[in-house]
Amino acid sequence: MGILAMGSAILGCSPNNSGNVTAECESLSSMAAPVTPIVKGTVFTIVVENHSASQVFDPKTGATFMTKMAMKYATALGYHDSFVHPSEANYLWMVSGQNFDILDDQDPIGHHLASTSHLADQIEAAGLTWKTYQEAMGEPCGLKSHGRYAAKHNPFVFFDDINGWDGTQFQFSQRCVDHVVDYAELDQDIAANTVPDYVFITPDLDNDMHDGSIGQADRWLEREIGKIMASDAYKNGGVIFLMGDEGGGYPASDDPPFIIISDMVKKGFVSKVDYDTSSYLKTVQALLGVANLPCDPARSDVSAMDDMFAAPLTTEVAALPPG
Amino acid sequence: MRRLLLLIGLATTGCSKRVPTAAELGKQVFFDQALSQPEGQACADCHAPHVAYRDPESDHTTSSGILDNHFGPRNSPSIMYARWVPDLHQDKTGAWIGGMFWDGRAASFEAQAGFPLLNPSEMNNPDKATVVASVRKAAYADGFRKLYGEDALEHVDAAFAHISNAIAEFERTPELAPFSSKYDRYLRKEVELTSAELRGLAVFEDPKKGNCASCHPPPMFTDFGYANLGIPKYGNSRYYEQGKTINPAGEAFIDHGLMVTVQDPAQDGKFRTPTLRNIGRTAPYGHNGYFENLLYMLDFLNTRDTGSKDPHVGPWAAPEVAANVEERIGHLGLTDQQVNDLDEFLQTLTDQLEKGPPPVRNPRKRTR
Repeated sequence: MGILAMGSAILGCSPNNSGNVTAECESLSSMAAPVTPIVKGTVFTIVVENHSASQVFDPKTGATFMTKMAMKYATALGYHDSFVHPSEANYLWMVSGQNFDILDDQDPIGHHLASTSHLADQIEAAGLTWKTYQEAMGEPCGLKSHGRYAAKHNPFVFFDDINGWDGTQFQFSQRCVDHVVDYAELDQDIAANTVPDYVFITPDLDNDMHDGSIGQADRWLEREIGKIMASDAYKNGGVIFLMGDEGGGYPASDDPPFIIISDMVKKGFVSKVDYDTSSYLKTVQALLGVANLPCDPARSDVSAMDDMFAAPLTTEVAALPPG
Repeated sequence: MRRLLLLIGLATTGCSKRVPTAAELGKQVFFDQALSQPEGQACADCHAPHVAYRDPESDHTTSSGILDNHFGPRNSPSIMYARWVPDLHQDKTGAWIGGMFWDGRAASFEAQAGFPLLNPSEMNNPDKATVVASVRKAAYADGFRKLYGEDALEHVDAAFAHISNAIAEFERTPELAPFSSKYDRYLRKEVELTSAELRGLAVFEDPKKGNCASCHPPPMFTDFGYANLGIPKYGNSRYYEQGKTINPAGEAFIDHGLMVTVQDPAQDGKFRTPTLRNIGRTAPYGHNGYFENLLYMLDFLNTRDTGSKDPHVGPWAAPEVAANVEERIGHLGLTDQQVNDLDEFLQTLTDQLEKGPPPVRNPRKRTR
């Protein structure tokens, strides 16, 4: 790559707040070829909202099921968001390693992104499959928030190569319809044994603790995670990330919960390493065996959450100081 | 060009001999993050231009103050077009009209400007003197002396009045009232509305359908009156977690709105009808932010009394204040198509908001 090209790549990777990012980083196809996924089953991510780990794990008023999962599997008590707010910025970060300088919660009509440096493109380029299951969305490819569905909690609909934005308006996108589906479809996919390699689940605004209580979310999670853990997609070597999207950003006691449920993790392990949303993304990428995203600003200086797994996911074991 | 830039620089740093306008000073005050205690929060933190001068951090339904975990009880409203809100008064029928904030507690536009500076749940200055002391240290302090007189910042009460006046003058500028929405351009015959938007406009105006215009008449899309829509309590309000000095009632807190301001039980649970201009950019909705998105609120207005058809919503929760609930809404009988059309029309009320400066990053957040 010439200096000029490198310069434009760096410029293209710079955050921008236009809402119409035209990042021209390396194309995904030019990245290193994907390796074989480490994970044998599906990588699930379930995101909950607006409550801290200290609230969720409070022995008196906290979440019984989540606490049980944390004690049985692996918990990252040093996990925090990437210091961007509000929700939308954090959800975008989970699938792209950046927030494109978006610092509000507008629907895709206000923030459609031309960038192709995101996990969905990467997964498909590697020959893997993905879906996001959004509770209360109803019709697939929900570009507008309604009822108990919040587009701000559905990061994939912000990318133009998914949402069908043609520069003027959203056009019908079969890719979006096929991959951005209502949560009810998960039951069908489990029954048909067609659960994709990567699954991103957003409960509705009541069940994700945004508007509902910790107890309501906990009961929902117990039922739904129980269902997932009984599926072949999980039993055959799957991994479930159960995480909060963000903390309030104040004291560390306000940081969100982060649990990894899998036979691959160290059982009952509590990590105190200083991890953030980029660490989560790196861990997903390591499990799926895909490379870093071309425009990920933290592509080289953040490691996967290796200490939580029985066997390190990456050859470059995190050398981060304790949190 | 370079000379022009130099002149602009001099003007903004206060080195120019030109006397700044009150609006120019007010804008600098509005964006000054050194005016909170501790420093770090400006008016613009909760009223950011790119989201129609409301709080960009909409995940919590009420806004966070400069102090850790300090939240007020209400959703920060957009301050665009606020200049047209009349002073609090009763009309010929005895109905309360105008006044600033959701509950009209600031009688006039000038009076409201200083409130957030002194609110412990917002910018947390203990007194006016602290605010004035911060302004004296600001780069724009000389501008106040040029405009209001050499002693403009010497006497606390007078200085605070100048500061409030400057903020109010900024809030009166066309920057906060551009009338640049698609609807405005439609009225000027510069654009056409789509068929869905026109259908939505018809629903909005029709007394037998939405009848929205009865309380939200154009051009300001508000009658500046007060109503209790029967909005439920928002269970996850961070205000319930505030200490007893701020919220003695804890989770039992009930927001009585205008009743507290005018000390009249007939006004219990009533809040000022907001403008619908820029409604598409100002989520969440309702005085307590109960409604995460506009379609959710429209569903409530349509089906409050009958229950939502959306299985994820179902029957609506009881109102926070059961008295004085507005009877004209809650059973509108609109079809899904009509609700969607109404939403399409309401989106045309969004101004062409300037990108302007980058969104105000919240300095309260930790940095790596």
